[in-house]
Amino acid sequence: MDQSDGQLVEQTLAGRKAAFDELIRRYQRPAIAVAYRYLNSAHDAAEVTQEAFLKAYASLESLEQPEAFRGWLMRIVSNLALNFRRGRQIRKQASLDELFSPESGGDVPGQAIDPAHSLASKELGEKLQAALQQLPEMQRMAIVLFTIEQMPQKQVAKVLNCSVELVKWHVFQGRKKLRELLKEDL
Amino acid sequence: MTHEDLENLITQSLDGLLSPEQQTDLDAELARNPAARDLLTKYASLDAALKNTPLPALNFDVLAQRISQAVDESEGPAPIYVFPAWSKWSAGIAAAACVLLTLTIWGHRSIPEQIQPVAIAPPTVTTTPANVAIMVTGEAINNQPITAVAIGPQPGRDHIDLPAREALTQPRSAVAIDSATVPAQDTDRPLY
Repeated sequence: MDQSDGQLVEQTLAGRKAAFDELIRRYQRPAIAVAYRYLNSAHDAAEVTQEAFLKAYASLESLEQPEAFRGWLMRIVSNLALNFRRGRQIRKQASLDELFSPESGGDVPGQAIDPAHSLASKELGEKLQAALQQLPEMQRMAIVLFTIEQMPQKQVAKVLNCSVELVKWHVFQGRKKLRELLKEDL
Repeated sequence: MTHEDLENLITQSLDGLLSPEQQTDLDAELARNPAARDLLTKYASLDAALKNTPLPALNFDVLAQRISQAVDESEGPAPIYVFPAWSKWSAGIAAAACVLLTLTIWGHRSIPEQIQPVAIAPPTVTTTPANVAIMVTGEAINNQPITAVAIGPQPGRDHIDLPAREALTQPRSAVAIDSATVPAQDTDRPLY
C-alpha cells in the first residue's frame, strides 16, 4: 500500500532518506510541469526542480502539516521559478523577441516532445506555452496551478499568498486573455 | 445576464464550481443562446489544450537519481532545538530578575543629587574697598562647574555687607574663609 505524503515526511525526518526519494519520484513530474510552464525551458525547469527539492529537504522540519507536502513543494517551485525568471529577464534584456517566441528558452539538447501527441496538438501546445508566457505573473501562476495542475483553490491561494476569491479572478482573467490570444486556434 | 457574467459562469462550470442553482441558470442560457454555446465550446477547447499541453520528454528516472544524489550531498534537514519544559518557567524568572535589577538601578540613580565633594582649584583673592572677596572655582565630581564665594570685612572692619552675607548662605558657596586670616597685602597671590 502506498504511504501517504505525511508518513513519508515523518520517515524522512526520522532519518530514512529512502522516504524522501519516494517523494521525489512522486512529485518531480508536477514540479517540472509547473517550472516549465513558468520558464518555458526544460533545462531551467530541471534546475529549478532540483533546487526546490533541496530546499524542501533542508527545511522539512518547518513543514507544519506533513500531509500538505505537495502544496508546500509547489510553492517552493513557484517562488524559485519566478525568481529564476526575473533573473533571466535581467540577463536577457537584449533579446526580448526571443522571450515571446515559442522556441525561446532553449530546451535540453536532443530532447523530443512526447510522441503520443499529434502534430496538431503539438503545435497548439507550443502556441499555448507561448501564450502563457504573455500572461501577467499572477494570472499565469493561477492558470498553471489551478487549471493545469488542478491544485485546490485553497492551496493555490497559499502559493500565491492571496485570497481564494482573488485566485478565481486571476484564473478567469487569465483564461479570457488566453482565449483571445488563441482565438485562431481554438 | 451580461457577457461577463456568462463567461464567468461558463468557466466556473468547467471547473465544477457552480452551485446546482447556478448550473440550472447556465443550462437555460445555453439552451436558448447559440453565442453562449459557442463560448462554452471555445472555453472547453482551451481547457482541454491546457490540460494536455505536452511536457518535454525528460528522462524522469535519471532526473530523480540526480536530485536524490544532490540531496545526499546536502546537509539534510536542519534540526529544530526543542526547549525542555523547565525552560519555560526559568525563562520567566530570569525575565522578572532583569526587570527587578533594572528598577533597582534606575531607582538608585533617580535619588536627588547630594552635594558632591569639590575639587578646589587655587582660588584667587580680590579686594574691594570694604570687603575681602574670595572666589573659589572648581569642578564637582559630576563635572558641573562650581563657584564658591566668601566675602568678609577687610582687616580692621567688623561687619559684612548684606549682599556678601547672602552669598555666603548659598549652598554651593559654603566655603567660608575667615577674612581675619587673610592679610590684605597677600591679595594678589594664590592662597594654596
